[in-house]
Amino acid sequence: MVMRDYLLKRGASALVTLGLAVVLNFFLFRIMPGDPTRTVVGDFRVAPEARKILIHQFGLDQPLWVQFLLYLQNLLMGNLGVSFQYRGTAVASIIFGRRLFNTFILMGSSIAVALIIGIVVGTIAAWKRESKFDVFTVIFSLVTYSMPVFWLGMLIILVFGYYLGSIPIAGTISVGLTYSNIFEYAADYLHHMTGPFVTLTLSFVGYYFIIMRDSILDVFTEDYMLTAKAKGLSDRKILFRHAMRNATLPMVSLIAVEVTYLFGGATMTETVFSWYGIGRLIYEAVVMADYPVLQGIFIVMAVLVITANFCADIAYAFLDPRIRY
Amino acid sequence: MKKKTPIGVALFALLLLSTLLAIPLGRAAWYTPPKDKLKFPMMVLSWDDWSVHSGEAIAEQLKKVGISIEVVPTDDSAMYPRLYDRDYGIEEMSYGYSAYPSHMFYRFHSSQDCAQCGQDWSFRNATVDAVIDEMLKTTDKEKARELMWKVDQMAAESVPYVPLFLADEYHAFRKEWTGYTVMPAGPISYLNTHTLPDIYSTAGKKDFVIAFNNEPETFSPMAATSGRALLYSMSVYDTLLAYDEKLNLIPWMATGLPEFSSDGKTMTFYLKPGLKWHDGQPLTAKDVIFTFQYTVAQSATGQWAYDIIKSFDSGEAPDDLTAVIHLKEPYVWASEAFGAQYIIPEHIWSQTSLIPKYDWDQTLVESNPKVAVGSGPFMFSGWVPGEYIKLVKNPSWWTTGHPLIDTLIFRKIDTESARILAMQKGEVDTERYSVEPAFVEQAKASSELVVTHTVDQWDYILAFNNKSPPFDDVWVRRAIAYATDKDEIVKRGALGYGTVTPSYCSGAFFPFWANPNPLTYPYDPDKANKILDEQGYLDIDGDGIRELKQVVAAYKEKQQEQQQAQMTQYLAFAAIAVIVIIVGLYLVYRRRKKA
Amino acid sequence: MTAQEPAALQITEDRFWVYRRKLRDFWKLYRRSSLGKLGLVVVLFFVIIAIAAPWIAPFDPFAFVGDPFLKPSSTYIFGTDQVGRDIFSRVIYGTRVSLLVGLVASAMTIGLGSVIGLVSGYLGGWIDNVLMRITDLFIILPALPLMLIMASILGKGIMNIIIVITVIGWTATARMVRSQTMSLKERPFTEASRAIGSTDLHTIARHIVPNVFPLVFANGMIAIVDAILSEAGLSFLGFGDPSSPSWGMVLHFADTAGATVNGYWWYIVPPGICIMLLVMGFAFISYSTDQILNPRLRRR
Repeated sequence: MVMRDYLLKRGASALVTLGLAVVLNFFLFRIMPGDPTRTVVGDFRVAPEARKILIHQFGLDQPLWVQFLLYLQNLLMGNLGVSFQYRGTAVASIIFGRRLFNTFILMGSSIAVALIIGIVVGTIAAWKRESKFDVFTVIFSLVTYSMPVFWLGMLIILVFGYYLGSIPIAGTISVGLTYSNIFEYAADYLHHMTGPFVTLTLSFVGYYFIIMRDSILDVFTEDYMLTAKAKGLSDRKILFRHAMRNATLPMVSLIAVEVTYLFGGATMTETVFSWYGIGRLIYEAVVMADYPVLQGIFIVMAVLVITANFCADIAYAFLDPRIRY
Repeated sequence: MKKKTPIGVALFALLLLSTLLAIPLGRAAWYTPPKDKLKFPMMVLSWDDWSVHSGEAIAEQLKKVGISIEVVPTDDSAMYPRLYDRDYGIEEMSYGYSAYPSHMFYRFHSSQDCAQCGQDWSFRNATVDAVIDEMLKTTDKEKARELMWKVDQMAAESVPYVPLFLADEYHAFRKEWTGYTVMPAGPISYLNTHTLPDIYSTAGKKDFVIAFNNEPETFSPMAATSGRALLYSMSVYDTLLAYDEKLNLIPWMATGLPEFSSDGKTMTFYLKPGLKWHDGQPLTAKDVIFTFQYTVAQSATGQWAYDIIKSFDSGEAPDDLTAVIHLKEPYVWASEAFGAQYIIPEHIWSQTSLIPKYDWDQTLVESNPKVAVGSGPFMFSGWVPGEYIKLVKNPSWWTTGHPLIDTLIFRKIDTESARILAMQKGEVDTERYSVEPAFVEQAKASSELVVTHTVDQWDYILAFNNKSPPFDDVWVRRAIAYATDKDEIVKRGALGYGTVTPSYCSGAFFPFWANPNPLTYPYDPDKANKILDEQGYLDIDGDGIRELKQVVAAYKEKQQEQQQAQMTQYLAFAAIAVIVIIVGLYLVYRRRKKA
Repeated sequence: MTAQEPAALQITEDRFWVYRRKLRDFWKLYRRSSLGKLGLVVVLFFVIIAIAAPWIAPFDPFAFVGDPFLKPSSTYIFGTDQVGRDIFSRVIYGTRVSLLVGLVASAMTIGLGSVIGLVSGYLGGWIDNVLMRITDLFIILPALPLMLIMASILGKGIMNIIIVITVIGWTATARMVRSQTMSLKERPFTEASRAIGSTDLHTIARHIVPNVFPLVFANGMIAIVDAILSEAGLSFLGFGDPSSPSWGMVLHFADTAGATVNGYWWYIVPPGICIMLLVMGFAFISYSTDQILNPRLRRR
């Protein structure tokens, strides 16, 4: 069956890409001028013998090919190594912990809301092409797309945090409070999430809007649209039943790409708002030269994203019978 | 097919080659010693404004004596590898003092002249080594101190680096807090065990919130090396000894300073009676001995671990309150090293199923709160990762009635300005660090805050690579020492927030150990100029920068040769002239005769 | 057409007129789009500022000219920063850095991407496969974390930022050029060219490149936008060159000085608006160019 061949081919290419990612991951961080003892030591100097012991504990005094084999072995067992910065703490427990949860919630909600708004408003704008609504939304999208994300975040902190004082400017929850039930906790958490959420949603929505609008305009030029109108279907039916459904197809592959963001985290936004998530972890790990953490994040992202892309390929194959690579 | 492949392969190979080429480019040496002039790049730490501005001040001062310095702000990631590889000529940044002046060993002993060891300046001197070795074995502190003064003197004669100043420590507290102890390194530091148990609020507030810029990287006292981790360790765990305001050792969990045998190889601690762990178990001498055995067995890397690993031979606890430790050799700072180690509970840490190694995974406290049991003034209560750590007071701490607060919270706030703002608004009560220089005036002027002032542990130095010409010439180093105006450097570099260090062990920090009569190099640019002139570093081409000795010597030699050549020329001319005149006279005479 | 004129010269002349006509047609269509004109004006505005910086800026962007954190006034139009430098002058000089990095980085990105796309698309086979797998890898990994990682390897500095942007950004162009090349490869004129015995290089240069070029140009505008935003982001996070006041770097200093927390809006708003306007300018140009080159988007 052609479908099976297609899936096999995509699967093989996914595996090859994964292999490349694993190898790249290892060598990328070996090229780096890494000195684990410097990160570990922090403020003070540690005695030379202690440094040698540390280097030995991290296995950095072995020949390169031995290290590579150990790396592969650990990877298969799910051991992502030990952080340089957080002494003794397993990288896996740093990544798959509270940070992932925070990033997930933030990114998930922002992307979802931005997608919905982008799809709906994009459709309407395409329908009312050249109208005031269309012009306004296009310009609004271009403006938000052109704004650097971190600047948008800074503005929101300035206006809503400093001047209006209505949102907290950092962190995921307030300090030292005790909550009587889960709802109080959720309320505080969401209150803290408002700033980063609004920033991210605004930064995504412009892009989704324009893509959707272009896609719908593309669909309008298709013949079946004329057929639908000739059949006497109402405008709304044409719009939502035919146009939107077909225009959403390119969005499917887009969503697969966005999955990357879901796990990579919005590094800028999280840094500006001190949101305790993966994006912020990446930034901190880079600054502190904590290479095991970066390595762990890199491989986790690669695996997740390659898998997501493969799933998107499958979905695409089922949705659009025309597509055979 | 035939036409395709060669081009394809060529392009492809080109692509691969270019990526591979990128790698070795990063590894080339950065520094080459100057070939002709006294002109070099000086590394300073780019994120440390004081390092950068002090460097600029030094560059200006050295210009006046004919040395040209280019200040190069360098990132951490480039700075340290270059220092370790000795890939530099001159650099200026801060190093740190510890609770006891072990830096006099780490910075001057030949064994520490290696990559990532104690010293970065390639200083080797057998005589100094001998004195240091003797000092390390002397148990009598007064005698040891005299030997240290000798080391200080010899170092001053050699000038492996020029000590500049100690940074100032300014600490901001909300005005309603009192009871803290101000000592070197500040009221909130790992040297200061007094502040946290003694502090209280005149407004009756029972929670004390300290702002950190980052979380402690570990909760294990065996692995703590950073200031924030050590602050956690000293809140939750106790030590045998502590320090008073003059950095003298005082008993803490022990009843007094340890007793030493006559050969200095056995030391005995006596514990206070009735000490308890947070879970109610008694703290005995067995825990003390276990702590040191564990440190050695696991090759721990905590702050004092190396000293302990080097010295500890064996130990026993003849009874619950007596801990006897046998050292491999007498060690001058044995009391300090063993007295400063945080004591861990044997009944918990000996279970390797609970705590597999000394630097355990931080997330363990969430699944197994037992790992956080200590004996200190505070007990671990909760942790929200990335936000804050909560400690509650230990009601059965061995100093009855203390601590005076109920809750201690370590709160993470990223930037200094946010921390200051939080202090002013009352969200936090102080921060872990000294107030950054840019904010000191603002903090002092604030009606909500009180600012304390003392010396900090960061000493700024101007270091030479003693093996790299021309810094291998002691006179060059001495001249530079004379040419630097340390007061001006403090003013320009640290905005005045520093104390000049006249010797290699500053008396402002170590009142007991500091040399009372150090050999100093007061600011004297004329003397510097004189030294350089005498040593043969002259400015030949008039560009204001002195040339190297050998260049000057070569130039002089050439000049001499030229002069000699000229002399020979003159002589030749003179000889010819004389001959011509004689011949002429003779001819004239002959003519005359004829006529 | 006389027999004396060499045939090659005649063909070259014809091509010249063809190009001129194409360009003129393009410009005629472009002029109709108001967004396009606006974009062009904005970009030119910034280019002029960048060139004329020494004459426009009232102060030296590195000199300490006043007290820190002064509010905007007639002397300091955007106020002063935490060490007393004039923010207005810094923003003016920042135009140079931001424009330079944007243009150079995007040029290198497009160059690299085009070469890879051409090679991959034209030669096909295992070379294509390998290159596409590598491209896949770079496409699916999130750009900013990858950039951060690379920046920490290479260190700070403008050149390093340009390298990082190039190495991460070539994939989009490569993909597009590849698919275009592959479709052009099947066209009759390619076969004809090979039939008369031209070498591959000749075919690529003479036939494929001119047809790919318009697409690359449109893509180039997007690449410039990405480059400017990437540079701003990396500088903001601290990987830029502290001695060159690009807009991102100015915002980085604003953040570390606590401008958001203390309400120094004059430090935050101007550099960001500049980034936004410049990016919008290029985005408008790209949008209009897209409209023209992709006929399906035009009004029916």
